[in-house]
Formats: sequence, structure tokens, C-alpha cells
Amino acid sequence: MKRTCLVAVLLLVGQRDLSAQWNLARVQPGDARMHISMAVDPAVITSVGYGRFTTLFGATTSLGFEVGVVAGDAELGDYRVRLGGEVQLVRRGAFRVAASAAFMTRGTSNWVFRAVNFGSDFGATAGVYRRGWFVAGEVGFDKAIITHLKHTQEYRDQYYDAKDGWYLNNGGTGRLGIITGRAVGGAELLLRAGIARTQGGEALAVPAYLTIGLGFGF
Amino acid sequence: MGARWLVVAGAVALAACETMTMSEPGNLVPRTVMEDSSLPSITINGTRLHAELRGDPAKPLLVVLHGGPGADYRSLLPLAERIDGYSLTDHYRILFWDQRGAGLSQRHEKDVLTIDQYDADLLALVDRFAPGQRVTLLGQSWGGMYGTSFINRHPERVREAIFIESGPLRGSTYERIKGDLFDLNLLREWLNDFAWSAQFFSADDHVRLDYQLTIGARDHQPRNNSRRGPSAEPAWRNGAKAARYLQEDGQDAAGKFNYDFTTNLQAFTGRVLLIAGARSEVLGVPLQEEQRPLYRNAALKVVPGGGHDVHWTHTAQVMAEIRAFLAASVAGGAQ
Repeated sequence: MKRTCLVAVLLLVGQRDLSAQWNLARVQPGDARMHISMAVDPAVITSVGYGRFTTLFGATTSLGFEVGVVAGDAELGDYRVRLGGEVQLVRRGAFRVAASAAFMTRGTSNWVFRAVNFGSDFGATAGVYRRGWFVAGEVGFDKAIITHLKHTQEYRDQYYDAKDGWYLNNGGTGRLGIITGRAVGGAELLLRAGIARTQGGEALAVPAYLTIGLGFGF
Repeated sequence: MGARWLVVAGAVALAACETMTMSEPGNLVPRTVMEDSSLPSITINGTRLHAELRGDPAKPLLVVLHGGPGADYRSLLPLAERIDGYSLTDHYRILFWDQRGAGLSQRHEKDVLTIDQYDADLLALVDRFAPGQRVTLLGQSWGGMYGTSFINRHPERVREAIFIESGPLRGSTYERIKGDLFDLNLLREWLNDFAWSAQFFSADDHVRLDYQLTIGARDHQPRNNSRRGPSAEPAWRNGAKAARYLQEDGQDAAGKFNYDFTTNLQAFTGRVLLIAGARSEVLGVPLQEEQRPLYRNAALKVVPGGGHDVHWTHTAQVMAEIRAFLAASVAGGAQ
């Protein structure tokens, strides 16, 4: 059964890719980009990523991955790995619209449970992109599709009948914010901020997100 | 065509997994009285409370008030046991109950999770189980605040009170000490574990809200020096909305605590016993010493080695203090 679940997840993950949002005016097919970022999203997380730009169906598209580790965890048990892509849908002068899709796996270990999750993230950005800077608005939704929970003995001491296993349709997080970036030599500084709500419209424990990133093209 | 096949195959394989739903009662947190009819319950003021009575119905009533807000009475149950030949049930009928929206009691939304509603609930319980009589209150942490608020409004309904590690009785005090009480360092593991859990499920219903709160509940007040591990203070279930909205009801529009449970406290002439754990750094001796004069007739006893969970870790010592305190009432007839 475990193998069946793993195969299912891999099949789904294999369908799409992701990348971070960078200045679309500064990239061309064939370019590659690495980045490092620190964020409160929703925990304090440090990430590194790699993306490569190509042309797909005539549109500039990036494919890439990102690996992040959450602060405060010496065992690296709290992490996120994202695979995904972004495609530029509209270009009218400096105005551009892009859409992104990502699939990701996330892990956590706390005093109540150990968990691994497979989820998706779909988003869109629209804004003004010039070679030296850009500013865009973003909307997106991060769906926690399926989560495997294994409860700790400490929690079982509190609630013995807690059920371990796969949980489906666990809600998600919507976001609304802005992204801005500025070229500094060959590098690019990025700032991303906004508010987040649960799928049901409830405020999160950390109701806003903030990312500071640094990217290098080559 | 190949990609379409992969999607279909993936979906079929995913459907073959034995999946569960987080919101299903009992999967992640215990069922409330609304989902488990075997739990003892009382219905008052349009809500069903998880509650049980211990002792002889002919004896005077002692009402137990658990902490939180939003927690439950599980860790207070040992106070009804016989210790060193003495039990509170020798002289009292004890009412244990989970407050509205808390523990295993019925869940509610914001409009009825207020301090006024909590006061009405406690008054209804007192009227039902001790009509026309004065009662003894025994509260822990938030339970001490709740009990004091009740005394402040209804001094004539309370004979005496025992408050273990009571929280701040005034919002101004809470504002002053909250920086010492809560560990809000952004790099702390408990805070990141709590926030990161939103990546695994969104807290959109009572089950998921209560479950998520449990992740943060253990470590957010480290200076309480409560016990960790297998023999830690037990709890059934947190009531996240009760915890949130009761606190919000004590705040102004800017989110600052502005409640005051002491405006009429001097009208209460009954005796009050305050108990503090010596190792409870913020809510222990310093706060209890400061708050003792707010009551007309209060004494403070300190239990060596105890933290904020002193009632659980040092039950015998706490019971010895309670027994000595209540001896005068018992000798004079509890009514």
C-alpha cells in the first residue's frame, strides 16, 4: 500500500514544475539562475533554488526547483522541496502577465506528529518589468493535497486513539501580495510580501508572508 | 496522450490509498460531547458541557475551573482523589466541567465566546447545583482569573476560593508581563513548528484548529517550567476558538488587554487561598504576591519544586494546603 501511494504521488509530481518569480525582462531562453532566499512563509525558512529558461509553445518558460529548511530545527526535519515552472502569458511593452505551477513535498516533525505532505501551488503575477527593476502583484493558492501523519508517543499519552495514515483534502492557503526586484550588477535583489488566508478564509497563525531573495544569472 | 495516461494512472493510484479526513471526529483529537454520547454532560444556557459530579449531593458544592482559556479539567481530576487519608469529597460535592467551547464541551463561534457568557454559564451552574447557596471555587491559571471575575460580579454567591497559579487579574498586568511569559523569538522551534503546520493542513474547522493549537500549546510559555515527557500534565483537547475569542474579549480595538476583574473585589469578604509553584517564574510567586492584596482576605502558599502545573506534579502538597485552608470552613459547617 505504501508503494502504491508513493507511485501515485510521484506520478502527480512529475506533471509540472516551478520556479521563483524573477525579473522576466532580464531573462532569455537558455539562461539559468540560482537564488537564495530567507522568508517568513509561514515559518522562517531559508531556501536555495535553480531555474532554467526555455521556450515552450512560443512562450518564455522557466523550469526549476527550490529546497528550503525551516529555522529552529537542528534535525532538518522541517523542510520544503518545490518543483515547478512559470510561463509568460502576456507581454505588452513593459507590462507582463505570468502564471506559475508547482508541486512540492514538505516535511515536519513536532511534539505531536511527524508528517510529510504533497501539495500544489498555482499562482499568477501581473506587473511592470524593466531591465533594472520590476514590480508586480501576485495571487496564488497553495493546496495541501495529501498529508501522512504519524503521531508521537508523547501525543498518544494524551490521546491514544489518534489515527496515523494518509489524510486527503486538507485545505490550503491563499495569498495576495506584491513582488518587486532591483538589479544590482549581475545580481538581482527581490522583495516579496503579502497576506495569507486559509482556504476557509481564516487568518493564519502568521497572517502575512515576507521573502527577501538574491538571484544570480548565468 | 502519454501525459494524460499518467494523470489518470496517478489519480487511480491515489484513490487506492487508504485516506482519511482530518475533520472526521476522533481522528486527530477526541470527540466532544456532541459526537460521543457516552461522555458525561450537562446542558445549560443552550450549550452542552462535558461535566461530571463527584461526591454526595447533600454536601456543599465546590466548582472546579480549569485553565486556558480553552483547556480542560483532565489534569485537575487528581484533586478529587483520596490523598493521605483525605479527599475533598469527604466534605464537598465537586463539579468538574469543561468550559463553553473548551475541552470536550460543545464548540461555538465568536458571538457566544465572551466573558459575559462565561459568567452567565458559571452562574447557571451554581444556580442549578447549589440554588440559593454560596459555593467554593477552585481554579487553576485562567480558572483563577475566571473565578475572580465571578467573585467580582457575584460576591454573594461565593463562600471561599482556592486559586492555583492564577493569571493576571487586570489587563494592565497582563500587558506588563506578557513579554516575559511568552517566548516569541522567531527562531524558536515551537513557534516555527506551529506556523509550519499550516503547510500540512489549514485550520478551517474546530478539529483542525484545536489540533493545530495543541502543537503550540506545550512550549509557548517556557518560564512556567512545566513538566515535559511521559508524565507531563495531561489534557484531552484544546478549544482554539474559546482560547482566541475569550482573550480578544478582554482586549481593546488595538489588541491590548484592558479587562479588570478586580473593580468590585473588595466587596468579597470570604477567604481566598492562592497557591504558587516556586519554579513558576512569571505566574508564580512574583505575580501572586502582587495580586494577593487585591482580595480582602487572601493568603499565599508556595509549593517548593512546583511549576505552573504544580497541581499535577505536586498534588499531595497542593492538597495538604487546600485541606488546611478548608479545615476552618469544614469545622464551622461549610454552609
